[in-house]
Amino acid sequence: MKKRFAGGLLATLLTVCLLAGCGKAAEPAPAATGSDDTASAQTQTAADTKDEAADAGDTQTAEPITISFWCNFTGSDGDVLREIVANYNETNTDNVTVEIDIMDYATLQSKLPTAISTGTGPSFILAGVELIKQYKENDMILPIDDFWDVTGIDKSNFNANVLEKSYFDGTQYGVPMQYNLQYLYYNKDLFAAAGLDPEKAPKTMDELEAAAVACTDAANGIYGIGLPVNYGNYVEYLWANGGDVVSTDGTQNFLNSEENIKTLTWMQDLMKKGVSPEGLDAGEADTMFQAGRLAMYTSGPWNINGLNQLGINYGITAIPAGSAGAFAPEGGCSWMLAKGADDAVRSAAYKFMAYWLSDGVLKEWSNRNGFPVWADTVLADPEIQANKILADVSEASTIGRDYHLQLDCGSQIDADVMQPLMERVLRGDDVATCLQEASDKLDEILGLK
Amino acid sequence: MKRNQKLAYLFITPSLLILIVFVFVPLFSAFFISLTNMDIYMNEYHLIGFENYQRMLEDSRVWNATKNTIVYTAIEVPLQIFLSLLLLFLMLGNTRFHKLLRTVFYLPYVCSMTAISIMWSMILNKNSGMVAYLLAKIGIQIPNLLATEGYAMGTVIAVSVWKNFGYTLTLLTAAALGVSGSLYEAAEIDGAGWFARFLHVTIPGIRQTILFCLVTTLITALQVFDQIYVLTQGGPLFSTETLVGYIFERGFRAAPFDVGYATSVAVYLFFLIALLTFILRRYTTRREEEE
Repeated sequence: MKKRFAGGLLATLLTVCLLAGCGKAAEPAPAATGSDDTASAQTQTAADTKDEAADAGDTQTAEPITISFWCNFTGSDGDVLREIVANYNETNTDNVTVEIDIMDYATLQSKLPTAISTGTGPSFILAGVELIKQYKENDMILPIDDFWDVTGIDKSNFNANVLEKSYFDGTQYGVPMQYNLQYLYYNKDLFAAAGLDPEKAPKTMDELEAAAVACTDAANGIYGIGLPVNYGNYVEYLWANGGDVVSTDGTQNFLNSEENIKTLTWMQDLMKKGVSPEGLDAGEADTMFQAGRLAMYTSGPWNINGLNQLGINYGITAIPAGSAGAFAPEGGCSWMLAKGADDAVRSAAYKFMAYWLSDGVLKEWSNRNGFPVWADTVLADPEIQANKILADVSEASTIGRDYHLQLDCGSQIDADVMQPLMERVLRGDDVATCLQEASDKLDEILGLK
Repeated sequence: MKRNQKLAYLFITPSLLILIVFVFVPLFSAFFISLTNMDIYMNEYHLIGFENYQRMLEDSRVWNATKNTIVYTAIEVPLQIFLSLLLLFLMLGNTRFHKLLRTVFYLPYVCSMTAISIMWSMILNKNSGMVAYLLAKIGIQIPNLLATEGYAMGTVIAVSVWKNFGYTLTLLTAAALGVSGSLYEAAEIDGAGWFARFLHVTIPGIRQTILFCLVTTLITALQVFDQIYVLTQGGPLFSTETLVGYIFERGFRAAPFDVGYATSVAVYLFFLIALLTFILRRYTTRREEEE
């Protein structure tokens, strides 16, 4: 009898232990945020922005509140983001604590919908503007049309083209966090070594080709330009000669055109001239440019911070123009309020978003990460104006153009159509055939077939 | 039901709960999801019958991924077992040096596949890697191993074998050391040499362990993902894209995040693994019965 009782007790205990392991952890107390060293380094910026942030919002709450956001800033910019959030937590007078959870893109995309629908998600989200439509249509985010009125922030201080990326069907769903395009980076030392003027960046595709040929010294492992096979789309070069991929509403396929054949043939010829390493990977292109083995390549502003730290003598300019002009695909991130946020969370999130839009924070973000400035008051700042790279980036940011930002299938177009197309073109396959097949695939994705 | 039977059921309850919650429920849920048009947002999905499976039949990427998965498995698994057996043969003496070597061979296995893949991608990189640089110094030009269609899969297989064979070797060694010494002595008296003793004493003695290694490495190989995701991301031109990679691509990486369709490919992979494992088990069991 005793044995049976002990056995039963043991089995029950094992089961309870098992179930306990599946239980939800207790809510953590609002964490002490920020590290001492980062806090001290940023105290001045925080002091500058504290007053502006304190004014944000129509109500001041004395009740402590903890809000959280998820994002996929897994690079060095994520460290800067953490520091800014830590500063906010230490300096804000509203008793708001912001917690940040950084994860990679795929994890964020897979966790977020379930978390929001089960009430275990973040208070707000920091994500790419191309996701606003999907999030809105899937009932994951809330409208924030009252943001400017509630916070009292002057909307006209910010570039209209940046603000409009956070709207869908005329309703505001996001507050801009950053804006970026693609830029042409060039190594001034390699330009000088090739007898080119290091202060004169290529402005046209012809100049780009000439500079690439001049800078190439393949015997010594130096190449004029990096054309990675998995870069994504190269749509900026297609646009430059009057070509295109898809209409912004996704109802027309423009891929199979004479203009695109001309541009892709030009790129293939560049490869044949040996100005770019074969089979180059996008990550490799970063490394080679940092090592001074690529004279030029195209990338976003996120590389500026690393290049500055390495002391590379480089310049940055707009994507060169073709026969139809110069264009670059737009990108950016916005703060979005997650479904389920009550008034207190909304108010606290607005305060943090307002803090982000303060001059001090925007200036710090641009200065440290190289992202273009999109606020008039920050542009007028002497420190910003004295920053040559930032001035060049901001100047090169006027040629932005919408590339499938409003299409649900945008990333599928890049992954299933554009990347295979560029891989084939750059390895030397027949351009017309490649375009025809890619166009057929695009028709399939757009439902035009 | 007898009292001690009740108690036995009570004792297996925790394990049964784990199996139900973490194996059976996801398994049946996956089959259900594969019959829906669910996307990652899980809004407004409904049953669409076998449409996803019908779509699979017309999707060339699925068949390309199936081919790549089978090619990878068909080369990686035998290579790993063969390399382990070869080293086992060379290290049957079990000296201190052999023990040291086994430890060294086992080290990659305890490292993260992601870390190892990053390391190899840096070493093998044509434009900035050490191997290409050193070989170029002595006048040898190598192709871009990870970015050329004909070489990428072979490179991925080589990295996988390099990482995993230490595990197989350890299992086989443990089994080989358990083979009775008297059998070796008898074989030696009969005039068997080193190789004959290995072939006719060691191999039969560790047959069950070889079979175990074969089944586990087969299942792992059919689910290959990490190393390919890091080394080639399925490229160039999908030449290393495997079924798990394609499931990830369709479900979580590229819009419209078609979870229903991705799950149907996962169910297909499940049956593929089950079928191949079943065939292997049947074949080896029959061989054993014949002997």
